[in-house]
Amino acid sequence: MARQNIQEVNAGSMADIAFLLLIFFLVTTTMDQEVGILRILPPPGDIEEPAPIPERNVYEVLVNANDQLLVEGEPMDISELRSAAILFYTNTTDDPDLPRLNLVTKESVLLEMANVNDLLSMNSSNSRLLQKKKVLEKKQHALNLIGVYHEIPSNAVISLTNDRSTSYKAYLAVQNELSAAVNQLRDEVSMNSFGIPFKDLDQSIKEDRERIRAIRTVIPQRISESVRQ
Amino acid sequence: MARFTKSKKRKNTGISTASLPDIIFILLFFFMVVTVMRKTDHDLEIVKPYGSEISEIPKDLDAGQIYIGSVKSSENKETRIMLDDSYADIADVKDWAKRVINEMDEDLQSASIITLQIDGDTEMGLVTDVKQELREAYALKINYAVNRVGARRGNNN
Repeated sequence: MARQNIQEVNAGSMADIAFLLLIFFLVTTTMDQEVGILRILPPPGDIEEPAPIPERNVYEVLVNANDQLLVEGEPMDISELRSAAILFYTNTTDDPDLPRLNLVTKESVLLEMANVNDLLSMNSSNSRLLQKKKVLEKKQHALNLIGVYHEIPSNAVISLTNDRSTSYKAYLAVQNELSAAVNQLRDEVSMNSFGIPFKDLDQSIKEDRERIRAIRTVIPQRISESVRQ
Repeated sequence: MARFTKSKKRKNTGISTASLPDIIFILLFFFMVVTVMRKTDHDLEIVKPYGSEISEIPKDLDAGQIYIGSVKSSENKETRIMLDDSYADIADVKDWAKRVINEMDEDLQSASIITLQIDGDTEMGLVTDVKQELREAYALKINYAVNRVGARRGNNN
C-alpha cells in the first residue's frame, strides 16, 4: 500500500497545558478594578489672596495632629460630620452662621444674563465676564432640567485644614464624609427630578450626561484644602 | 440474576475526555478577559484606608501609581515613595508625573488620573509635598486608593 495512515497528534496533554495556563492567569491577575476617591487639585501657582469671604460662608474643618476633628471651633465626632456638612450646603434652619441660600429662577437668571451681555457688548474680551456668562448658561441648563432651586453663594466653601503630622487615614475619612454629604444631596435632587439616584446616571449616555451637569450645578462640590504649618 | 451477570461482562468505556481541553480553554479565555494583570509587587507595607464614596478608574485613564508606605524588609521601617515600580524621592515626583502623562494618548492626557496608594498611617506632611509636586507637573486629577466599605459606587463622580 502506498498510502499510509495519517497519524493523529495525541491531544491528551492539551488539557494539561490549558490547565497550566489557566492557573498562571488565576495567580497573576486580579478580579477587582482599582477604586478610590477622585479629587482634582488646584493648578500650580501662589494662591492669590482671595477677597474676604463673609464668616458665615466659610465652614472650617480642622484635623489636628492627634487626628481630632474641630468643626467651626467645636470638637466633633467624624460620624456627625456628614449631616453637619449637609446642613452647611442646605441651611434648612436659616441659621445666621451658615450661608444664606439664593433662590434661582428663570427670571433672575435672564435678568443677570441681560446685564452680562450688555457689559460684554462694550468689552467683549473681559475674561471675568465671559466666565460669568458660562456660569449663567449652566444655571439655565439646570433650570431647564430641574426647575427652580436654591443655590449656595458662589464663595461659600468648606475649608479643610490639617497638620503636617495628621495621619492620612484621618484626612481621608474626612474627605470621604464630605463627599458623602454632597453625594447624598445629589441623590436627593436626582431622585426628585429624574427618579433615579445620581450614582446610577451613566456618563456615557448623552441624556444622563446632561442631567449630571445640571445636578452638579445645583449641588456643587466646594472644598478648599490647606496645611497648617 | 441473568441481568447482573450480563452487565459484569460489559466493557468499561469511561467518559470521553476529548472535549476537556475545549472547556478549559473557554475558562482560560474568560479569565483573560475579565481580569487585569496584577501590578508589580513591592516591598512597601501599605494598608489602605477605608472609604465609601468611591468611583472606578477607567483603565485607559490610569497614568501611573504612587506608593507611599514603610519598607517591610528594613529594620527601622522608614517611609519611602515608589513611583510605579522604583524607589524615588520627593524631588523625582514632578518629572515622573510629567513623563507618564506624556506617554498617554494625546487626547486622554488632560483626563489622565494618577493613583495614590498610601498607607493609612503616613503623615499628611509627606502626602501634601507629593500633591504639591503633582500640581507643579499639572497632574491635577488624582485618585486616593481606598478599600471599599459599604460601597456606594457611581459611574460618574
